[in-house]
Amino acid sequence: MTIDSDDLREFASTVRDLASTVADGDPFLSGASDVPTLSPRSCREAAVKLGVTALLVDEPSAGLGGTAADAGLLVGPWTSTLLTSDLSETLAVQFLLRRVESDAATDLLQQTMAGAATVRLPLLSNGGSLRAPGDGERMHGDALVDVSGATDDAIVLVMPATRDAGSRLFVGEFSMAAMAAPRDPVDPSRDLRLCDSSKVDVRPIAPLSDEDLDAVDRFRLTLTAFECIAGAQRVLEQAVRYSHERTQFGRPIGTFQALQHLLVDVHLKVEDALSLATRSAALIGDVAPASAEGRYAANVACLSAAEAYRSAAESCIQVHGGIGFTREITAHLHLRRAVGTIRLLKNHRRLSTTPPPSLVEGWRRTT
Amino acid sequence: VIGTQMVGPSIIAHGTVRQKTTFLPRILTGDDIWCQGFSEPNAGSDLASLETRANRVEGGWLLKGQKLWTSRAHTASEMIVLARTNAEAPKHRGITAFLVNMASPGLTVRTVRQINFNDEFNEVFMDDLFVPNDRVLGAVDDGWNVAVNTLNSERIATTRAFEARRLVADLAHADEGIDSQVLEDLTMRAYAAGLTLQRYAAEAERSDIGSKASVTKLNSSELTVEVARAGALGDPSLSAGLPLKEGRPLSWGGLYLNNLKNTIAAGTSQVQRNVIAQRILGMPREGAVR
Repeated sequence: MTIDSDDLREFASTVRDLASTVADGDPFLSGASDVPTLSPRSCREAAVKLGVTALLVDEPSAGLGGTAADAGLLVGPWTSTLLTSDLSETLAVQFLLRRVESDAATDLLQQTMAGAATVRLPLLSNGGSLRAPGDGERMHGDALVDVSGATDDAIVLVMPATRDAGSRLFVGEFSMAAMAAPRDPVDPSRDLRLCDSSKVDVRPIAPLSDEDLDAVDRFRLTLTAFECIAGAQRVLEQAVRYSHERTQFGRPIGTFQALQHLLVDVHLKVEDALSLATRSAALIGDVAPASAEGRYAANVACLSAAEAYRSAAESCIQVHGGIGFTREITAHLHLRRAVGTIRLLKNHRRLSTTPPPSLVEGWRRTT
Repeated sequence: VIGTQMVGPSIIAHGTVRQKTTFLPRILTGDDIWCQGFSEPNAGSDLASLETRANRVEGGWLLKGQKLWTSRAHTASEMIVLARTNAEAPKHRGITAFLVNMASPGLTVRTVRQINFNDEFNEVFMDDLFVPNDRVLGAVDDGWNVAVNTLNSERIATTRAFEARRLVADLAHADEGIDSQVLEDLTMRAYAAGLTLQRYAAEAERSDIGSKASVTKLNSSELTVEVARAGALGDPSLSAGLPLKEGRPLSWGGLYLNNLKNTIAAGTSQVQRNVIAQRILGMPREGAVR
């Protein structure tokens, strides 16, 4: 079911207002604090209730039954105010939803929807360097987790991991106190932690198919693209606003074509990224192997959206001139978020930009 | 294309019933081929400063002036012409649109040679050319609104997103030894350009998309140049070079030269950027004073 678009717009506007209220009250995000640490976000609980996680869960499981395109509208407001959406929770829930025939998966899903458990999916590719344990072995490897806004003492990590015999979904409970912040974080507006998987008991709860892994990964890339696009639109608006306010040579600097053309080129990138993300969202329902275009659309949507975000943030700093190089404005935080996202994507694995041959071959026949 | 996608929509929007019944069927059947008499030697990007004059006479108007870069004027049967009818009015207000028959006395066409040896460009001279009143399109002195309509239609008609996709596909198919990363980048952009065009077209069915056609026009016209350039630079065979005479088989070099017109015609890339900056992003116009 697709949510009626007027309802969704109203919903998105509620989320946007909520995000703005929280951002205005946050001393770090409002630029009043020099200290790159995060303050607690009281909005978190509300965000989970209002946010993408619930939107994408079907109605019998206490969700709203929305589509990926609906979700794209909702993740934006969070990034545009530099908060973190509930994306990594959403993705964990998506895995659980795909495996509801497992009692353990269903239990955890119900606890999550009732607010009794905090679940997260690690940020790197389907578990990244995590190695599935053999019989009697412990799991290996660090999971990078976004714990922004988590208020519980412990979180449940939902970890897909692969071994010769195939892929499985593992879960393990990590205490917040035991997780270390990664060294040299690029983006202080996102609370990333390293979880050493060998230090806790993890248990397999369900087998996973390649289709499951592909679908959730495309979800991740598509919603990340929507986040980046919203951030890019926000910094572009900031740059345009400042181009009206700042006067040099007796006129607003925005009247100079050099600046106009700079920002138009950013706008073109953002619009193309939005088209790719929209297409990718529309193809989410397609399953492999028929989803060659879906996989391609997800990859290029995410890559071009992250690149558009970086380009928009850099241009915003440039248009602001000297003040753009200070912490007086939030453009640098957006640049950090964009660069952080690009780095996570690169660590994720090389996202292929090779198009499916059938897609390109089809273009030869267009007149 | 000029008839069906530019003049046709303008006649539908601004024409009289008689003009619609006279001209529209002949556009659709192809009996009339239209050309567009807008640009002049001193009025290109700044179209509203055009100097062709139309003076009122018994039963109609006498046109005097010169048009330039008039594509296919040498084969067209009809031409939409913008001429100044009120020299006292502000420059956007004193212009009128005329529907001119190319066989009219007083009209001369001279072909201008193009860089790709495929000559379609013309100069058109009008020397006391008579146009009857029933061939005025829209209200007298309101030709700028007709022109804006035609130009908006032109920007949609000249969106080359699907042409860029086809070129990319041909380039991939030709296997000319193009660097694979370059090809993948061009493919991704052509894919996105086509999706953006489809997204805007769907939006245009629900509401007026205003200047958004400029986004796809700009984006895709630049892409057609880049793809053809990649083909021309990547193809090592001598015959792929830039053509120096007429009638050579279509090569990447020929396409490259040809496509350079895409970023000039229907509003240069620079004018499109001005339009997008001011009308979509909302940046201040030149002359804005604080």
